[in-house]
Amino acid sequence: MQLIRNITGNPEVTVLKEKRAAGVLDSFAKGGENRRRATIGICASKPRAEAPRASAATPAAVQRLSPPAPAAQPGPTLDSKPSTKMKGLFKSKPRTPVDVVRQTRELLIFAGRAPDTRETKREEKMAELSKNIRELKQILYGNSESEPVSEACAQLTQEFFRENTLRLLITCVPKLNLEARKDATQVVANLQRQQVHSKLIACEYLEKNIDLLDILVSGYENTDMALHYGAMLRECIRHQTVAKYVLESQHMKKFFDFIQLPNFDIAADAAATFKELLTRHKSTVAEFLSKNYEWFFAEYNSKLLESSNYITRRQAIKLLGDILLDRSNSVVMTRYVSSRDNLRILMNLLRESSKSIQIEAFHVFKLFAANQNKPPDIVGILITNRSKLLRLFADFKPDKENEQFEADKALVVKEIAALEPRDRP
Amino acid sequence: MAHEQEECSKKKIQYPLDSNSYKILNEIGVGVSAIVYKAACVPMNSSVVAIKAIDLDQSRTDLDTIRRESKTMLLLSHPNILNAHCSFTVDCRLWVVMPFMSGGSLQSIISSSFPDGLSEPCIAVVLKETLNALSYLHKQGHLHRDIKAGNILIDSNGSIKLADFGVSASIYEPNIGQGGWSSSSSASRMMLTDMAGTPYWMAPEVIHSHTGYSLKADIWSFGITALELAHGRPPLSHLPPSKSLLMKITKRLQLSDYEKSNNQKDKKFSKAFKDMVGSCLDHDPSKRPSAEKLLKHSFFRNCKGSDFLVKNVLSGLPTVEDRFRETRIVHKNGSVDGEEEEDPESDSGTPIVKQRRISGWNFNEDVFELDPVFPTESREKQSESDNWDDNVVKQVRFGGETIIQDQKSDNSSDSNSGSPGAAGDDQAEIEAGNIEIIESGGGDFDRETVVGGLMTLRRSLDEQRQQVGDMIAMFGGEVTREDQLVQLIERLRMELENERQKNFELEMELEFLKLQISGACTDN
Repeated sequence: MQLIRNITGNPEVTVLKEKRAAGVLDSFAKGGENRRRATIGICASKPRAEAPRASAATPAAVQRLSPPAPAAQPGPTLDSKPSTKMKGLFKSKPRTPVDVVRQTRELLIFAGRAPDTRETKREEKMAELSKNIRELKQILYGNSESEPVSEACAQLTQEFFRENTLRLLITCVPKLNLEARKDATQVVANLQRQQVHSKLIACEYLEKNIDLLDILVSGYENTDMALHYGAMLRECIRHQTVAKYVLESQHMKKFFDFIQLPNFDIAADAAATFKELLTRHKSTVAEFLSKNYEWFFAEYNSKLLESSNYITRRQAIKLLGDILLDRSNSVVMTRYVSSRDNLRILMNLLRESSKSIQIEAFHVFKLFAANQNKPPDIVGILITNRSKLLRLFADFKPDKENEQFEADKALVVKEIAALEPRDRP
Repeated sequence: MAHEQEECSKKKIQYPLDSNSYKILNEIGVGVSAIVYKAACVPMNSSVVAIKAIDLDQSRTDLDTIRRESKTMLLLSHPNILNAHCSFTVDCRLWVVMPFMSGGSLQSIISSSFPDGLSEPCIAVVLKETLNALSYLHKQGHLHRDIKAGNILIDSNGSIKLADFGVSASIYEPNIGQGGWSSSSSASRMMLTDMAGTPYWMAPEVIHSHTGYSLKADIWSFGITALELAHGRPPLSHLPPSKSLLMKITKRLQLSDYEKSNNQKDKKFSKAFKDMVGSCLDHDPSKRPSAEKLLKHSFFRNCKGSDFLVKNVLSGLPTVEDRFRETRIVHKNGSVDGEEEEDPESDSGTPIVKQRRISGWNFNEDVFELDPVFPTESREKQSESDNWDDNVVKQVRFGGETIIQDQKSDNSSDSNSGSPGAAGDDQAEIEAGNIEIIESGGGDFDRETVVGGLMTLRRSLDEQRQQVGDMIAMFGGEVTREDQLVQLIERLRMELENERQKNFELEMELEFLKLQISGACTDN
């Protein structure tokens, strides 16, 4: 009953059906302003062709549009003549994913050039570029009415990495408007996961163009670019070889500063990337930490764990716990918990007024206590502070009941209580 | 997409990133872990801003969530969405600097000046602007997840902005899965499965999150918000948003309050409005229209402009600060602004009492309210269900699949909202007993003296009870009375236990059946 009422009471339903009929347009030319056209121009040619400013015809598109088209001149120049006459003369097929990539590439090359052409034309081209990037996104992600087609995604990806499109796109981001920047970020993110013949060709491309990572990392130095480049960067370091490059580069040191930038959004984004770098690829991380132990933990302690910034300390102690408690980092962990300097820092964190920091600090502190081969100076410090520590732990519990925490605590308390001064040097 | 060009042409002004540049003027809102201030940005001609100071140490959400919220706000650009100017940390607080919306939230406007709701033309303007924001959000692949009047803000010029992305999620976020925009329920990989939002406004599929939910959950909340604007409060708001609501649809039902809603029967709403809201409150998410589609609904045709709101809503309104102060007096230690009021009845010390299950809500177009639906298939009350004199309602069960039934009962619809009164089973009696105890404990406090609070207090008996519970807790209670209470509660608890035993088997069976049904549903 109500169902019927819904349908009859909702005139939009019919519109939807019409849209479905124009399925081709729907899947390739929808979203944003194109949605309107999809409903109006069902049997017209592709939206691009009806636009008075005319499409920037790429050679491929022209081939497909059949040769007799007098208005569409083939050629790499983008100064195509108005092709309004084309409209309605012959029905064109929707552009293939390959066409969209090619046109995007042409426009990116144009956008990358110094602005010598007249400004009005430039604006048009930039709008065209934005539209193309959105179209790429829609092919990759699908839209509200259709799922992405894997075949189309594969074609797009292949064409995208066949040439230098990724580099062009990344360098062009600062010239795009906000919406296009977001679309570009999503396109780049998605491409990192696309497999062609069960190979991640994005990874192969990045390995050959590893300097792109330098551009992305330096994004954190630019307020406008940070979040876009940051998001792209996090996607790129899903590839182990790429993450390895960043970890071993000089950029790694910069992260200690990025994390403490005054702008919360940028600092938090950098922290998220930092964490990803240090947790995602276990073997690479273990290798990196072993090789770079000295400087890395010196920086980590002084810049992060002893930072004056609450949020830096909190994120750092949490991440430290994640790193040290990871089985693959056991060698590093053993080394870390044998240092009295580290213990001193951890004990200071245990005394923080912030509950969250205290709890996270405990998860690292317990490693010092549970270490069965405690060096004598660690034992000494623990014995000296025994009564204070036991008092602290007496009413120390997280907000939520946590059995594991209680068990850990009991163990630590037992361990500390049982400590006896060993033969001290 | 005109605003696109607009936004790109004007360079974003960089607000200062240190707390010394801002002078706090007033407190204008308080949540569980956040305070909202009105402040002046000194280096920028002391322009007025709103600052939301989130206590990161107290905040229950983790930093990653906060980072995402903040980023979402920063990267959205739409005239109907409240953007952040900037955010930075001050000790363990995150300061989010935002434009100051002098009209405050629609919720605060309603509770201070329009207790019975706004007029229909005003509602249309507010909802249309909100839909614009929602449509943009959804196109971007974001869910708001907390649409309610409390999150719809209005400026002095009548412009409407959607705020608070505290719980918003992006279906593009990698950890949720790469995927498209699909909003159909079949696209299960696109579904978010964690729970967020404020209970009253939550869509059924969000509560029953095992089925996942998508953009259409926002549409449900939007429908509830429409009812909230029309009636002055969201449907079922007299019920405490208890944990039981979140875990199951086990809900307390307060009968007296339901009768109250009857008073508003005289309020006439247009067919278009009812139809619009009805379509949003379809229990099948896939049948709810998209935000974009809703914008074309006839209800929004001939919609007035923002000046209309200035004249009809904003004129003569107390300032945000005054309204906040007022609610503060009323709520003392309660929460304000409808924000995060999910303080369960833990403070009252009583265990959560399982009451009659409500298996769903029917949107009743006649009284423009949601009616509770009691499980008809549960054997216990098979016959009683005939008493529900809901006239023609769509009855839809929670739990994944949709069963649309035409439920025509013989009874004439003379006492629609009174009908749940027929549910006078044992449990309801126990519930009544509970009220008595707590009430007698709070008898010492003369609530009538809080003159300004009358309006708010009227909203629900249950709310009062919670407050009294808080007060008792605050004052430490009286020992002797407490002892008495403990005994009484103990006795009632025993009775209850018996009832529970009886119910348990039935419930198990019901759950099992539900599982089977939803299992069968997902298989399809």
